[in-house]
Amino acid sequence: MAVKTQISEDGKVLTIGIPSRLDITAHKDFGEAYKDKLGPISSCIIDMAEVEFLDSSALGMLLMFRENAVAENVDISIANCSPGIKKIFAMANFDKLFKME
Amino acid sequence: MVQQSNDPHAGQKVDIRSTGLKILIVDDENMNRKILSRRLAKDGHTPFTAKNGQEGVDLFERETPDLIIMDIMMPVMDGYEATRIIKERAGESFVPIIALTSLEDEKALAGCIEAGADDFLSKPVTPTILNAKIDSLMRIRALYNAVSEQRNERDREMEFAEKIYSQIIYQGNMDESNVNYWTSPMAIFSGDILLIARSPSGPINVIMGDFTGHGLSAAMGAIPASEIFYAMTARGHSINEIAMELNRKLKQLLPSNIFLAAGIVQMDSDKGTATIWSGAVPDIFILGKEGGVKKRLKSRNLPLGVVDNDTLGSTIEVVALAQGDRLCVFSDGVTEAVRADGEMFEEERLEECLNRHRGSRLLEGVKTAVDKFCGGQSQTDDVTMVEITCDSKAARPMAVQATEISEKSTPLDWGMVVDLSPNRLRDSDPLPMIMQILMQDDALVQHKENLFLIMSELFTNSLDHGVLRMDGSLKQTMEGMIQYLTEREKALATIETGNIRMEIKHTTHGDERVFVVRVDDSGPGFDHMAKGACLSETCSMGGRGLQLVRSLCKEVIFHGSGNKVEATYVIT
Repeated sequence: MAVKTQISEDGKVLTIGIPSRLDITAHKDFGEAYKDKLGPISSCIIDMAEVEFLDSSALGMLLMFRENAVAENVDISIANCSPGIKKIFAMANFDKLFKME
Repeated sequence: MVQQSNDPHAGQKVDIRSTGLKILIVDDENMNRKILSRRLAKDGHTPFTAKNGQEGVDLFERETPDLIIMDIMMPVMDGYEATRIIKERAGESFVPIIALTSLEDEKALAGCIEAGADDFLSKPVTPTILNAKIDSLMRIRALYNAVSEQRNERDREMEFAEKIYSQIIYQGNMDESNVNYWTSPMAIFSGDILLIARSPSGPINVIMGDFTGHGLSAAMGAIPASEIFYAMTARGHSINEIAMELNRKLKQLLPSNIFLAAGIVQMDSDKGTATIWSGAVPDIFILGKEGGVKKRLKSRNLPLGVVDNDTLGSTIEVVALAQGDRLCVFSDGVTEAVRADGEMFEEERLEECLNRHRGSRLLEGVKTAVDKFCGGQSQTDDVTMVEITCDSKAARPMAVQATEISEKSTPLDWGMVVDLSPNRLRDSDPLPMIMQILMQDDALVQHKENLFLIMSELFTNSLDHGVLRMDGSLKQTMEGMIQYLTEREKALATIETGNIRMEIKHTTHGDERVFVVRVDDSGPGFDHMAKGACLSETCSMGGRGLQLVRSLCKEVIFHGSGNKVEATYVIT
């Protein structure tokens, strides 16, 4: 399954749905998902509901995304993490960088 | 197994015989008894005679006749009374009684039938009519026996099926202290299911589901659904995973007109969160400790078993709860309860009712309100409601659960080796396959994220730097990262030489399970001592992986020139 995106009706919120496995193979898809979309939106939600696995390149991707989003003044949050994924984020101190929902 | 034939035609052949019957004649007139007996004996029957009702009852008890011819006016006990007693004592079995009356007395005739007689004969009795009546009653008896045999057979099968059904459906713990529920199925087999089970890390999983239709056909889907729910909950799978697997299996098994509307909830009382997957069920309500609706959650998904997993695009919601908050799921039997004028109960009335009932007997309040609304109309659908309270006192300690798990599984020592040639490296990704194999071991499922991360880091490190000789320093900047990925893709597509060998060993030492991953590559290695890595925000894009592996593992050791690495992960 690929990365899915959805923009809210008012055009302000972008939701990016991550597939079950987030690693180096998802890099391109993930980049495409927000490319050229950050300008008009005010916030972005990374929906992790389906994610089972991630590795450090996923963390790298999220950092890159964050850099882009901060530059465009977009408020970002990570939602629906499973407990196991949440632990990995906590271990990498990502809970301090990202708003976790 | 010895069993009566359940083929109704086979039964008829035996019972429809109209000769050789045991026939009881009850008459106070000696002459009548003699004439009838002689006639019946001539036709091949075995007659018994009684002088009055009382004697008739006694002979019935002793001889169990196939048919009784009963006079009405008799001394000691009349025919009405005797008929009543015999019919009562015959119970389930059908003993035809022909009452003897005189045609002129219509009142007596009606009285006979009322007392339980099956037919009547007027005196004097002619042989043709008598034989015709006997034949006709024997046919009725054959039909009666066939029907009652079939009914008994069906009852036995239903009872047996219900036993199996209940064992499968209710294998979870229905007595969790923070879960209240109320169900009223329309039949033994219900189209509604309510399953409750605790996941190994503590939270309670509940599924309230409603199959299309009700009765046996709807209950068929409940069996695979509950098997999946209990097995996956015991292995610690997430709500989303459970929903996806249910969808996949039900889509595969059920005809397209049968599907499962469901609310699946994971209540994590310790963390104060509820994770909800809801598809085609009425709104799920969240109530405060003191009562009153705090939140109403609309159903976000298609019902289970309608479309493929890819199309389902499952959405889950996570809701933060305070201690004492309650989450209520209702089947559409509640909201679609109909009153006489066709008006339905609907979610608005339900919300109003939930707001009104502030006490602890919430579900009873809803039930009373629905009953009152319907005003005596009979129930048209299965009704199920469940109330789950966020109560950390109800959650069992996690440690207990963990030991239970390790006791249940049989820990074995095993290992596997995966050798990857350039062709394999180019065309396939070994990690999903390895993960799939590992997930066969129940005890590893809870550690899947960590195990994946460890193996993915070590493998990617070997592939990128050992085999593809990529320059990691590129990853310092965002532009570099993109360049890195492009180059990596190119290098991987044209790979000609280089090997990676992954070795996984699993051993047990008492309560401890040790999982060792060893990755060797054909590359030159690297100066692992000098490589610094950090996890702070100021850190570069790369270098984070090894640090993560180190913090997850008990030990990470590099061998050789740095082209061999061994990580030891301990599960206690």
